[in-house]
Amino acid sequence: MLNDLQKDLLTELVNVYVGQAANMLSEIVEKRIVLNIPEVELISISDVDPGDRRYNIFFSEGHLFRSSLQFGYEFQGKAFLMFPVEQAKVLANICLGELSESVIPDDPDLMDTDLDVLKEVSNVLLNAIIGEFGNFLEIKLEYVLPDIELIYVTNSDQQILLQNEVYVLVLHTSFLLADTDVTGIIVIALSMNSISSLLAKMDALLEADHG
Amino acid sequence: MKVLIVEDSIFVQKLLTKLIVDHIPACEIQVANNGEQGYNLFTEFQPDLITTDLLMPGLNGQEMLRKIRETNRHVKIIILSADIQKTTKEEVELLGISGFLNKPLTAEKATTMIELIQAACHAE
Repeated sequence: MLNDLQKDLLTELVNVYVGQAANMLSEIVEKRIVLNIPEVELISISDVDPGDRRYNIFFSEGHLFRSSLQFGYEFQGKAFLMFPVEQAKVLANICLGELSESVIPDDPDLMDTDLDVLKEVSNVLLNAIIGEFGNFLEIKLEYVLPDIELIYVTNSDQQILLQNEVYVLVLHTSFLLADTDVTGIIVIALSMNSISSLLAKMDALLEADHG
Repeated sequence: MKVLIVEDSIFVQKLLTKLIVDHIPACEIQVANNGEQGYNLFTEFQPDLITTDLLMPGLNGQEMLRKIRETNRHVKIIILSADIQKTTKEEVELLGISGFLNKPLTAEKATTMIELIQAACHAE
């Protein structure tokens, strides 16, 4: 769906935005964040091959912590941040470090305090990325309060994970907290109109740069 | 000095409360979980300064700010929000705020927050 120039520019933009988000997370947990070089794709979920391992997050079974932030109106969609539950627990424990009375290191279950922290972390991270898209497009985005869910995803559930969203901007970037195994994935589902707006803005920028 | 913290995250409430108490022990602090509680506490508690999030359930921070400014132009207000959009910052600045900080509350921003509170305190 993207030509080479568009993919290059979008990767560059996302690289910066995810870098900022990772920097924010780094500030929250006071640990270095290792970023993989992002691969950015604009795909239709219905066209994705479930056997493609890059899309395991959509098609593999398991317990997930999922946070989502819905945004609109001119640029409309929903951004997701997903962690396996046990990694979400590690992240919450790291964030709660100073408030040690709240942390029970050997307890694998997420408590209300963990969920509160994870919601706040997700809010900061997703705002960092989506807000910069708003700044890039020079439009005002309205946010709906972020949702958090603990879900057990079965194969049959996968097809409805991102229901009602036709196209998905997949940021294959995963961030890795130094000295831990916490990795997460960010997925942004966009409406067709929003994709058109984004492509139009990128094309205008590319035309200005390359004539 | 009386400070009202309006914030839906208990984690951030605790961080802010600890920060303020550690630096300005004489501060009297009250906490609200959303804009509606925040507005009610504003009328009862009559704080000198309010720190508020923007995206909150029910009445959000901007709506609370507008309601407060309808009757009070003087109370100092500092925004602490994850929203990094320039348009958001411009909108709330029109309503008269003393500062806008983006989350997360790093050590550097915590220092700025304390300086803003102290400046507001001395401006009285």
